[in-house]
Amino acid sequence: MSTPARKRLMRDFKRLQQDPPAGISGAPQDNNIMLWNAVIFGPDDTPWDGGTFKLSLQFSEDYPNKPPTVRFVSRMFHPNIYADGSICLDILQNQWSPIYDVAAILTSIQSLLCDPNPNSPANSEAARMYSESKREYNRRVRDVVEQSWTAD
Amino acid sequence: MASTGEPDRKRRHFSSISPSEAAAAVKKQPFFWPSSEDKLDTAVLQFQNLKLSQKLEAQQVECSILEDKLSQIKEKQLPYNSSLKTVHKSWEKLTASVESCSVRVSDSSSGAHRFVNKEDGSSPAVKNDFINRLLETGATESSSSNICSNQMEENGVNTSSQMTQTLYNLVAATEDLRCLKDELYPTVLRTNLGKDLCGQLALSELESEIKSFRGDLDDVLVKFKSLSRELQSHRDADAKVRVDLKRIRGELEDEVVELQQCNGDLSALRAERDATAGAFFPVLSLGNKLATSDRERDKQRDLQDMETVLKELTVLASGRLQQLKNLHEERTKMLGKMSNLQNKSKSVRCISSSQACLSLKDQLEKSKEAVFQYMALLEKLQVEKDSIVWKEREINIKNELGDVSRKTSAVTDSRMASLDSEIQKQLDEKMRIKTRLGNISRERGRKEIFADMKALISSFPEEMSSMRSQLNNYKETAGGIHSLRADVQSLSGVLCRKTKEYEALQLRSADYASQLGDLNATVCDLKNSHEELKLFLDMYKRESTDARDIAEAKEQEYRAWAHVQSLKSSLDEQNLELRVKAANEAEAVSQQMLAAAEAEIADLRQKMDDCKRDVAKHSDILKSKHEEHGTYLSEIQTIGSAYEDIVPQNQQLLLQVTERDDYNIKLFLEGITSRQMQDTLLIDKYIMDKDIQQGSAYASFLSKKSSRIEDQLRFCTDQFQKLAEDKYQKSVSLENLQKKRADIGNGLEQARSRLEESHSKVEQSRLDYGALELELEIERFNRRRIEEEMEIAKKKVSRLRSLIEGSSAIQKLRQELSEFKEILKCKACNDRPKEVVITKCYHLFCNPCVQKLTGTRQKKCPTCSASFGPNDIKPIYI
Repeated sequence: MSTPARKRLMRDFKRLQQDPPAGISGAPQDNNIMLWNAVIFGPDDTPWDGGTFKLSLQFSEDYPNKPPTVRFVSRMFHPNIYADGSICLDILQNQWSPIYDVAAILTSIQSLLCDPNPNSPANSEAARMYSESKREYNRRVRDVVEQSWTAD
Repeated sequence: MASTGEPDRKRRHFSSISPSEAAAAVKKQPFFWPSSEDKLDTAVLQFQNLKLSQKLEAQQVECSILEDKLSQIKEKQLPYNSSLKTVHKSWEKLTASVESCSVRVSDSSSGAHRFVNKEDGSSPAVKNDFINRLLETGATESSSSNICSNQMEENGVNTSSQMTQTLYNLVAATEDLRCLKDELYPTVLRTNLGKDLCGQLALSELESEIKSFRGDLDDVLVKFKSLSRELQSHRDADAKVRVDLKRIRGELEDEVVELQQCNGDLSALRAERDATAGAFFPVLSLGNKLATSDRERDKQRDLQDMETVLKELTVLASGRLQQLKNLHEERTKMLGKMSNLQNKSKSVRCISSSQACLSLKDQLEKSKEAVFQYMALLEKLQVEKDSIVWKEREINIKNELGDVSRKTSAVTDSRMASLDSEIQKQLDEKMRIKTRLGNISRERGRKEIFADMKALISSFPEEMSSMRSQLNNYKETAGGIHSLRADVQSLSGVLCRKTKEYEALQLRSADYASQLGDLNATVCDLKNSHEELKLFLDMYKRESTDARDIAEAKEQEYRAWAHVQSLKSSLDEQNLELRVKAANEAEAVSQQMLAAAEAEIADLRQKMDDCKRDVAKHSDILKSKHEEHGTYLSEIQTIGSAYEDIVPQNQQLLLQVTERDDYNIKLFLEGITSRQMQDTLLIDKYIMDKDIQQGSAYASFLSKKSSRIEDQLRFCTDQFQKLAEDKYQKSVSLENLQKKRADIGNGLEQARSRLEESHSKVEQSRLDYGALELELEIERFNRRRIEEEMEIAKKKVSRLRSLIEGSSAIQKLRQELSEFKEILKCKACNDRPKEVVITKCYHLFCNPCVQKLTGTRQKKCPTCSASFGPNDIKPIYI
């Protein structure tokens, strides 16, 4: 029952509770430690300021040698986030390292929000808007932020 | 030296003539040995002459160089002269400023007239002298340095005298200042005592004077500084010039020495020549004698010329030297003057930095501060006054504005009145129109006629409708007749068909009858042919006697033929019978059909008769109806004629009505226009009212403002009065305070008496104090005891605390231990301790994690993502 992955996830959870980084929170589901729910707050002084975005993290038994599957549950408008909520982030793919824990993943995703990489677009409209008309992009982001308040 | 050097030289010259030359000479003139010596001498002399001439030329060149240098030095001197001029100018300014200062001082202070007079007398003279001096220096600079130096000297003397004078002036000015200060002190005292206006005035004057003084003093100081700087620069320039002069002098001396040497040489040469002329002339050969003598003469002349030139040069050199000396003297004099000036400036500075001056300055500053305070007060008051005046002006302007608005309101009132009258007129007109409308409505009779006519006209359509309904009935009956006619026609059609059928049947029966006849005819024919054949047979029977076989065959044939014939006949008979039977049956049928057809015809005829009867009846009815129709038509015609008669009347009436209506409309339009006009006028009135209201409101606002401003003015005046009262009150309070002071003095005496009383009390209390001290001693003893106990308790506490601290230290140690354990844990799995090291980057991990990593394709360090191989992993023992 207590596989290395589960052990490691328990340690991650303990560390996250003892020393929680600013603007993120996460916890495993009651009956399944391999499935986590997390919330990222939009970074301050950016268009994402004030947004509360929900994510789901599905860990495999290969964790920490394999990255978890991270998806946004809230609707997003971001150049590197697909329409179904899956994230195009290098550390969740080929740049994964076993030393990354849940807090590191969530902080990386938080920093990705306000610092997108338009060279590998997952949402072409958002990428185009980000590179061509920043104002429109910021407006859309504000819409998403407002939706994140009302969404369940 | 020349005499001793002569033979040596000779010898040297001789020896210096190289042996080769000597050999050449020997080779050239081997036959003139005695004259060859002379010739050699002359050649040597010529050579020496050449050398001397070269030397002379070199000296001349040097002389020219020296002259150039001198001119350069002069040129260098020119900027110094200009700077000297500027110095003089600045001195002039300084003296002028000092003079002005002294004049002001003299003006301000009554006790220093004599100095002023002195200065007044001296200053223009000084100026003139200065100018003259400057002009002279400017003029003489180019001519010669000797005169210049003399004049400069004079100028120096003049400037020194001027300096002393200006210094005197300065001293006088300071004395005047001191006097002024003496005067100022009491005035300041007076001002301090509180004589406002006079004090202020005096202070302001004094302040301005002080300001000017201070400015002048600052200027003087600045000028002194600049002068000292200029002096310094001059001194530097002088040093440079001196160095140059020294150098030039040295050169000149060298040249003089050289010239002397040249002279010596020349004299030696001359002596030699004389000797040669005296000794060798007679010995010389005849051929060369004249030529040599000429040459000698030429040489002598040249030498004489050269000597003269040399003398001139020496004279010139001596003159130059003299000039240089003069210049040097001038320089020294100038330097002396400059040192004098510096000393003077120093003394002036000392005077300016003296204690008296400083104290004077302090006092001046104090008085200035006081003056500033008073000035500030005055400015405040002036500002208040200005603001009040400004407000008054504003109020005046506002009042004017109010008047203007009032005027406008009056104009608008008059306009309103005129508009009211117009409205009244319009109302009257409207009333008139209304009365006219009433009159028109009173004409009732016409209306009744109209009503009758209208009733009549309305009754016509009703009648028409009834007629139309009747006509429709008639039309319906006519439609019935038509249907009957159609029935008749259909019946007649049926009859025709039946007759045609009858005819067809008759034709068929006729056909059948004809067929019967034909059949009968054929039967008859056949009977005839049968009889003929029988006859033929009989005939053939009589003829056929010859051939019984043939006859028999023929008989057989006949028999066959007969049989055939019989069969044929039987067949024909049967056919005929059959045909007859069919014909008979058809006949019967046709007869029956004929009977039926006849019966049908009879029925149809009966029906025809009935129909004809009906038609006759209906035609009768139609006729009657036609007649009725005609009557109705006639009636309608009559009614139409009547209607036509009525229509023009109606039209006339309608025309009248339309005319009336037009008139009414006109009246109504007039009424509307008048109403509109009224409305517009009312609106105008309303607007005017509003304007008036606004104007009145503005006027009231302005009046309010004016009243407010007046209030403010009053308030200001009140404040002013209050301030005056305050001042008065303060003076009163001062008196009161003085009174109080006197009272306090009385109270003090009382207090002294009380003090004495208290002293006695103190003595009593001292006794008490002794008793209390005893008690205190006892208390102190007790306290010490308690403190000792406290110390024991503290020791106990510290012991306990140390115990507690020991436990906290253990906790700290535990925390540190956990931290170190954390550090020692593998970063990848966060679980196992670090066991192996990646030697490429020296990051530590646990063995299982690294083994997992080595199992993957890309072997990268989890911390720094540096790729490593399986050989890079080394176990480590911590």
